[in-house]
Amino acid sequence: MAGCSVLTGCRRETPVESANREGVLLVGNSAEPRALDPHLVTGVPESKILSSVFEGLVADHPSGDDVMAPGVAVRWEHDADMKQWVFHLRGDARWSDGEPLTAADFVFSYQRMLHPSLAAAYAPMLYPIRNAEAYNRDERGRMLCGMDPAFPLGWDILGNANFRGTDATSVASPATDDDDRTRLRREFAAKGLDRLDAAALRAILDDPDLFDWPDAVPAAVRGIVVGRLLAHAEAGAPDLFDRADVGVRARDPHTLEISLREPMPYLPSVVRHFTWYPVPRHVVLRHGAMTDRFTGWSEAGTLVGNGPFVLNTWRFNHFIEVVGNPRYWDAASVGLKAVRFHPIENPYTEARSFLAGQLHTTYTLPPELLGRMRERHPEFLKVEPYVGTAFLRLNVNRAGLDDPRVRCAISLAIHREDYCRYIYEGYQPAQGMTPDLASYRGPRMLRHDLDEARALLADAGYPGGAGLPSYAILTSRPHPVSDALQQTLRLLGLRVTIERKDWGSYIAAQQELRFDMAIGSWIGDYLDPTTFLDMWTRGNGNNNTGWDSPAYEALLREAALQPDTAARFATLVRAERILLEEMPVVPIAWNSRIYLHRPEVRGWHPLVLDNHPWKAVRLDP
Amino acid sequence: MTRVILQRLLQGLLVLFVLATLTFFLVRALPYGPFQDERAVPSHVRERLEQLHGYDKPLVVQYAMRLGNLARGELGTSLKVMEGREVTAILAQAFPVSLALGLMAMLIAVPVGVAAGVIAAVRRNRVVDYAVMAVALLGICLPNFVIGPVLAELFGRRLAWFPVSGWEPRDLSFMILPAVTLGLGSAAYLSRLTRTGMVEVLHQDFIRTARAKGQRESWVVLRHALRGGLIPPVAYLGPAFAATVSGSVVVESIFQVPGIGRLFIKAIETSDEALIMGPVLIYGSLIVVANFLADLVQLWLNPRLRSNS
Repeated sequence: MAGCSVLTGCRRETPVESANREGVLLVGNSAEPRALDPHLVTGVPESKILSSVFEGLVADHPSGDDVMAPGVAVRWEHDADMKQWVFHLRGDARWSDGEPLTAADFVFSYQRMLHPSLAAAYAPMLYPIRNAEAYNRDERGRMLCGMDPAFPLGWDILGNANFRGTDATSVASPATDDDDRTRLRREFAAKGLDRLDAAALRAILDDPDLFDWPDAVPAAVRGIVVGRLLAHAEAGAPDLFDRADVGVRARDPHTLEISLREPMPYLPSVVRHFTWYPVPRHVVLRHGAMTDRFTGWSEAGTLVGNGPFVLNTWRFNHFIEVVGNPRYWDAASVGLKAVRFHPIENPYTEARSFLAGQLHTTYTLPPELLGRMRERHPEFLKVEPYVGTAFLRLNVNRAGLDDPRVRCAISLAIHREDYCRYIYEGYQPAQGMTPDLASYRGPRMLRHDLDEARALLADAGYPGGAGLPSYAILTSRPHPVSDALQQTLRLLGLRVTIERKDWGSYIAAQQELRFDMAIGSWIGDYLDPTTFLDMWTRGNGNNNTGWDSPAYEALLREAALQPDTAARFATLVRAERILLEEMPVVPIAWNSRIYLHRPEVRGWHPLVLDNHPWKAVRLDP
Repeated sequence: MTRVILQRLLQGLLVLFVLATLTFFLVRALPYGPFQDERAVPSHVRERLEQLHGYDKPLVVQYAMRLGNLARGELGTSLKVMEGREVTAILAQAFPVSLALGLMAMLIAVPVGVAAGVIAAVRRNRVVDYAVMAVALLGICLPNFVIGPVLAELFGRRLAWFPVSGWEPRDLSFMILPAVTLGLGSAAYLSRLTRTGMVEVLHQDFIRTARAKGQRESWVVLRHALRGGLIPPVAYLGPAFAATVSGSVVVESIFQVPGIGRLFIKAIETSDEALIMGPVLIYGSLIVVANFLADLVQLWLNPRLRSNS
C-alpha cells in the first residue's frame, strides 16, 4: 500500500484482499443497529451482530436449519407431554470477561425481558413460558389472586372481572351519583383493577359502589381482591416474578428448567432466537437497575457476551467490528479473526461496494441487477429460499372486500409464476401463506383462473367489477408489484390506484386499518409454521386485516396442545385451509434471499432461516 | 460593527427558536409515532414507553420541557434510530464528518466555479465560454443522485482511482468523489454567477482606463475586475452552503459516508424527535452563520453597501 499514489492509478490491495489475509469477514449489514441489548431490539441487522457476540442454549448449524446444535446447553430433554424441559449447561461456560455463565443468568435474562417496566417490544417471543404473559402484562389480579391455589374463588370465574380496563362510556351512572363519583367510576372502569394506584384502591375499599363487578363474584371476595391489590400497591408494587410462578428455574448452576404453558416440540428451534439469549447479570447490574433501558452495559468496551466474538469497535453509522473471543468454549474451531459489519442501507451502494472488493457478502441485491449479475458474475450471485412471504393485505372492513368471494377472486386473478418471473425475480410462486418449513407442507390451494375469478365476482353481486368502489393499494416504496396488481385487478374490472406513503405512515395506516389494500410481507422468526399462522388472530398487532375466525383460532389452539409433530402439522394444515378459503391476505410469492457473496467465504450454506453461525465461517482465498 | 453583530446574533437566536418550535409541532403532527414498529409493539409495552418518555403528558407541557432542555443545551436522547444514546454523542461522531465533507465540497466548488466563470467572462462569446457554460448548465441540471453513481462507477470501480464508497477519517481519497458530487451543483451556479459579475465589471469605464494605461490584461482582470465581479457569487455563498449541507443526505447514502444526513432521514422516518431537532438546529445555526459571514465578505467587497454601518 505504501508508495502507491491515488493519482497514478496504480492498483492497491482491495479491502477484501487484505481482509482475506487477516482473516476478517466484511459483511454488508443494511442498517445501523439501534442497540446491542438483546432485550431491546427486534430487527434482523441487530440479530446478525448479536449472534456473533452471544450464544443461546441451542446454536445454529451451518448447513441445516433443522439441526439443533449444542450451544450453552450440551443436551436437553423433555417430559412426555413436551411441556417440561430441562437444559443441561456446559460446565465450562464463561462470559467473555471470565465470569462463569450459569443457569441463574438465564433466569435473570428471562425475568428482565419479561419485566413490565423494561417495555421490551419482543417480550411476546417468551410467552410460551408458563405465566410469562401474565407477568409481562402486569396482570396483578391474576398473579396475586388467580394463581393462589388457596384463593376462595377460581380464576375461571374471577377472571371475568374488570382487571384490564374496558370502554368507559359503557359504564352506567346511577341517578344518585354526583359528577365526581361518575367521573371516578368511569376512570376506574377504563383503567381496570390491575392499573389502579393505592389511592384509587383505597377509595373503592371505602366505597365499593365505585367499581362494577360481575354478579358471580361475591362481595367478600371483592374485598379480598381489592385488599391484596392495595397491599401490593402500598408496598411499592414489588416485582411479582416469583409470585407469578413464571416457568423458568435454575435447579442448580448448570441445570435450567423451563416449563411451558402448552406442549412445544419445537422449543429447541425457538430458543435459538436472540430473544432467548442470556445477558450477563453481573454486568447489567453494574451499570444500572435490571429494568433500566440503555444503561451503557452493551457498548463497545463494556459489552460482555458468551459468543464466539466480542464487541471491539462501534463507530456509529460506519462499522461495527467484533473480534475473536478467546474464552469461548469452542474458540479453537472459530475460523475468523474478526467480522466487520457495514451498515449500508442503499442497496446500489452496497452492490457497487461489493463489486469494488469492499465486501465479502451483501445483505441484498437490487432486483434490477439480478439479470446482469446472472450474466456477468454468476459466481457471486446467490438466490436462496428464505423464510418469508410477500402478500397483499386486504382490509375486510371495506365495502366489497368484506365478501370472501371478492377476496378469492383477487387471488385467482394473480398469475404467480409470471409475477415471479418479471416482478419478484428470484422468488418462488406462493402456494399458500406458509412456505415449506421443516417437514410442513401447507395446503396447495392457490391457483390462477381468470374465468373463475370473474364468475366469483359476479356471484358476489359485482359482475365485471360493477358496484365496487375504487381501491387504493398502499405501498411504501415504488415497486413494480403495485403496478402489476393494478393491471391484474383491472382485468377483473376493479378500479385501483396506487397510494405511496413514507415508511412510518405506511406502517401506521395498516395498524390503524386506514387502508384498502396494502403490499406487505412477513419474515418468520423460527422454523415452525406457527410463525406464519399465529398472527392472523383477533387482536394480534401484526394481523391488521380486520379478519378473525373462531374456527381458525380453535384449530391453532388444538394444534398447540399436540405433542406429536405430524398430528400438529395436520391440524395446522386444516387451519391454513380456512385462512386460504377466507383470504384476508393474498399470498403472492415466497421470498428468496438474493445477495452477492464471494466464493472464498466457506462454511456458508443455503439456509432458509439465513442464520449462518459466524463461528463456522472461514476465508479460503 | 458590534451593533450589527449583536443584531445578527439576536436574529439568529430568533430563527433557532422558530425552527425548534416548528420542528417540535410538525414532528408531533406526523401520522406515526416513535413507539410504532413494523412488528407491532404490544399495547401495554407502548403505554409503558410513552410513560417513560413523557409522551403521556399534555402537548404544551412536553413543548415547555423540550424548550427548557434545549435552553440548557441538552439535545435529548434518541428514541428510535440509536435508542438510548445521547443526541450530542451521536452528533459528535457524525457532525465532523458532514462538516469535513461540506467544507471539502465548497473548497472544490468555489475555486473551480469562480475560475471557470472568470475564464468564461474573459473569453466571452468564444468557444471556451460556450463550453464552460454548457458544462455548468449540465452541472446544475443533473441531480447528485445521477452524478454520484456515475462518478462512483467510473472513477471508483472502473478506473479504481478512488474508493467506490466508504470513509476513513484521515484518508483524503475517500472524500474526493463525494465532495465533487456535492460541490458540482454549487460550482456550476458559481461559475455562471461569476461570469455575469465579471462581464458587468469588465464593461465599466475604470477597466477601460486601466487598459488604456497599458496594464497587463491579467492584472486588469485579477486586481481590478475580480473584486467587483465576485459580488454575485459571494451573495450566493450562503445559499450554496445551505444547498451543500442539505444535499449531503443523498451523497452520504450513495457513498456510505457516516454523516448527519442519513441519520436525519432515518430520524424523520421513525419520528425520533430528538434526533430530528439536533440536526435541524445545527443546520439552522450553520446557515445563519454562513449567511452572516457571506454578508461580511460582501461588505468588504462592495463599499457601496457600507454606508449604513
